[in-house]
Amino acid sequence: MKRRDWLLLFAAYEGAPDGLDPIRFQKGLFLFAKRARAPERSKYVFKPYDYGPMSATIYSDLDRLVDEGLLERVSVPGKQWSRYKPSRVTFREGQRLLKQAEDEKLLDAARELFEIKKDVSGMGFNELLERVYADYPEFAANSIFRRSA
Amino acid sequence: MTLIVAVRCRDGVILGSDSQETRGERGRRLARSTRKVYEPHPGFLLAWAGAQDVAQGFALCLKRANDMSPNEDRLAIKDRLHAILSDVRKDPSVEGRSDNVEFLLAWWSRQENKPVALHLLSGGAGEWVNDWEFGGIRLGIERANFAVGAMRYIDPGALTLEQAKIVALKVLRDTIETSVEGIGGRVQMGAVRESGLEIIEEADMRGLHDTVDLWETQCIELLLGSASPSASETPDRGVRPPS
Repeated sequence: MKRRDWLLLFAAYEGAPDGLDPIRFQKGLFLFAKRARAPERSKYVFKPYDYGPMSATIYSDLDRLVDEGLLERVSVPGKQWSRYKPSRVTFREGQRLLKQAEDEKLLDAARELFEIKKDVSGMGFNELLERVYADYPEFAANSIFRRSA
Repeated sequence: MTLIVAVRCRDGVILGSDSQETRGERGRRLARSTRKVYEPHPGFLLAWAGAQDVAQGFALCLKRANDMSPNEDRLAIKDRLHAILSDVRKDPSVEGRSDNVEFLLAWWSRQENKPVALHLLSGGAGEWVNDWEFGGIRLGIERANFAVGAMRYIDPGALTLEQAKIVALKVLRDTIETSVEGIGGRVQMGAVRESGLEIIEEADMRGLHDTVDLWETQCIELLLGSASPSASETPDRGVRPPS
């Protein structure tokens, strides 16, 4: 499993049928990098950014997945960001990636990713940022959003 | 025309602009993208609005001013900049040299150990930037002032450079969204801080835009509560791992 495979599997999991914004992709894959027992080379590398942990590679990989027809980009009224929505092709690829994870003995990591998807899809941004900042304060160092102690 | 913006914050200056260049008569105008924020001379950040040929002539002369440095006294720098602009406007080889043009220039004053920014106008005037300053098309300036007024509870002098980038980007975005004729395209930005200048590249602008979107969404959540993606009523055909 490569980094991009985990990103696509994250998108294919149930929990957000209308797709997710880039911030939730960033936070989800960050939590995966921190929590999951998977080879480090298959995880994105994050830096403390304006909104907490951020990996520029996630942006480019999302673009690539859209270009390859594996995700749909849906514009959001009033915002510059897009939502990345799974399609039938995404779900089919998701099933294939689950089989691959099983073959590579990475099912526990795949289950962890599923739990993370449920979490980040089930809360608002304020709560999501608070949790990430509380658990990983070193990645909140450059955040422009000040939190109470 | 254009909209250019300068904001001085706690530890630096942000310069920003739209990216649309418009040529031709009203009703038959052609718009294309052009770079309006750049570093024409080491240590100096520039944003321009108005006649492009004059702006390019000014930037070229500034580039060639080898003995000019941000280490100099800022009043001396101001005089030099005025002299350069005056020479450009007398140069018969510069097309439209008498057309209106204005600049925002920013640098880190080594003598004063603080960021400074200057609004330079083609008529010969020059104003130091205290907090917010705008140049370009009149209606755009009015809209940008309104956008700043809507956030008057934010004191730019209390912001970090990164926070000021977000606030400046929001002002530019909100102004561009009002569709003033002559303003449009992507936002360009640069920053001056003690450690040097930064031209914010396209890839980095994406992260800044996401930060503004996140900020606005958090404001919505504060008022209306959060609407999580999992609450969608769309049938969920996503996959799940075997338990």
